[in-house]
Amino acid sequence: MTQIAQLQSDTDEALMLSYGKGCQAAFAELYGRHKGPIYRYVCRQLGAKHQAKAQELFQEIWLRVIDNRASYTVEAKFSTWLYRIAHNLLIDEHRKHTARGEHLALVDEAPNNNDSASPEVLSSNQDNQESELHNDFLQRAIKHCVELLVPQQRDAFLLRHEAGFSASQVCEIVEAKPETVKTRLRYAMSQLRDCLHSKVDASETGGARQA
Amino acid sequence: MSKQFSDDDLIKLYQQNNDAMPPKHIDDAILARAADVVNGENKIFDKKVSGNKDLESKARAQKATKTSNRWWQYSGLAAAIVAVAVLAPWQYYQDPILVSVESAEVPAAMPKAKQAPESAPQIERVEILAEDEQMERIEVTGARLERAAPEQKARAVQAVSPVMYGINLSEPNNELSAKPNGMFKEILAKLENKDEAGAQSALIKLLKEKPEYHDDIPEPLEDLYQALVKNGKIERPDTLSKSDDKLKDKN
Repeated sequence: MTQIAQLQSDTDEALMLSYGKGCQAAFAELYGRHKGPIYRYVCRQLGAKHQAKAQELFQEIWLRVIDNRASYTVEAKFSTWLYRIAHNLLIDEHRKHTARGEHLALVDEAPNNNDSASPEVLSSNQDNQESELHNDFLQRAIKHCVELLVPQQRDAFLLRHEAGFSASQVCEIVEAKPETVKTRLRYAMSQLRDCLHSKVDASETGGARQA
Repeated sequence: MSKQFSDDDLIKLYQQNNDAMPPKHIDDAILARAADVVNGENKIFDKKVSGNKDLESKARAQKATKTSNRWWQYSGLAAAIVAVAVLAPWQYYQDPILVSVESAEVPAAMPKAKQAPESAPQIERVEILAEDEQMERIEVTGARLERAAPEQKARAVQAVSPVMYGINLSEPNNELSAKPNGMFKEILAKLENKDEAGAQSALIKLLKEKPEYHDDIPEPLEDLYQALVKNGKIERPDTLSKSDDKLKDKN
């Protein structure tokens, strides 16, 4: 009990150092703290259509953590180091997609897809649970809009609002200047706002048409 | 008219129900991988530790063997050094003594050798008068050694050897010179006891037996001797009488 309590009170860096010395429980605690945000970050980056690829990348991130346990030194926060690994892997993945033209296809086909988050499908259920469904619609709409963002903007947005990093930490992870990151974040918010407006307008138009 | 979304609205909207988690099998796979790596590392570490212990024990055994081998080597070396230390001084110790004896004793022996021809007649005379055979042998031995000295300058150690045996080469000469006095002692004793007749008869007897003692008459007996010569009881040898005449003429 005391060891578990001790591990829970330890910082991420202390846990990683303990794991580097062979403490398996430290890694379990560390994994439990970060598995959700990093998984969502990867999933949002790759999109809902690439769930399997996201899981594969998620595993790859943690395997790199395991492999680098002995060489880990406390130069920055553990989470910064962890997300930098994830960021680099995602960049490699985006490069592969770009080379194959899949990324553009993903972006292009997104507005035309007819999945469950489409305004047309959502608008069909507005009669019974209009307000609840509207909120659900907005949540799925904005997540879809995030997927439609340019990768750099999406990266900055997810690191800032999904993982909870400060602007300076985002700069450190993506290795970009603060002005660049701020610009990306500003454009990301603007894009999301426009995207969400368009979706809401489309749903309203569709509902009116149905009515 | 659609609602205007602020940045906060967008963020809140995004974060609502945003609780997607990795599947359970991925969690298990990652944790198992982490555990395997740590356990494998511990096994490797245990193997290394046991391997190191084996190596240490082997090294100790080798070291012990080397030490025992070295012990014999060291003991042999020490024995050799001791043997050299014990035996070497005999070689180095004799040479300085030979040198010192030559340098110290040769000059001392040389004057004796020079004296040898001079003392030779005395020695021969003493040989004739010798009463004791042992004394005669010692004198002869000393004379021979003295004669040999000039011929054997480099063998001065051998010339010294009689000295080392406690023989004084100068003693025989002293005795030779003292012997006539010894012969006259009895006469002097009688004279001191005022036995002039006994002294005269003893002197006459001695000079008859040893005519060469005419030249060695001691001063206390000189008056008695002259009286006997005047009385005609003693006849001086010719050479001596001639020399006496010369002395008288001078006077």
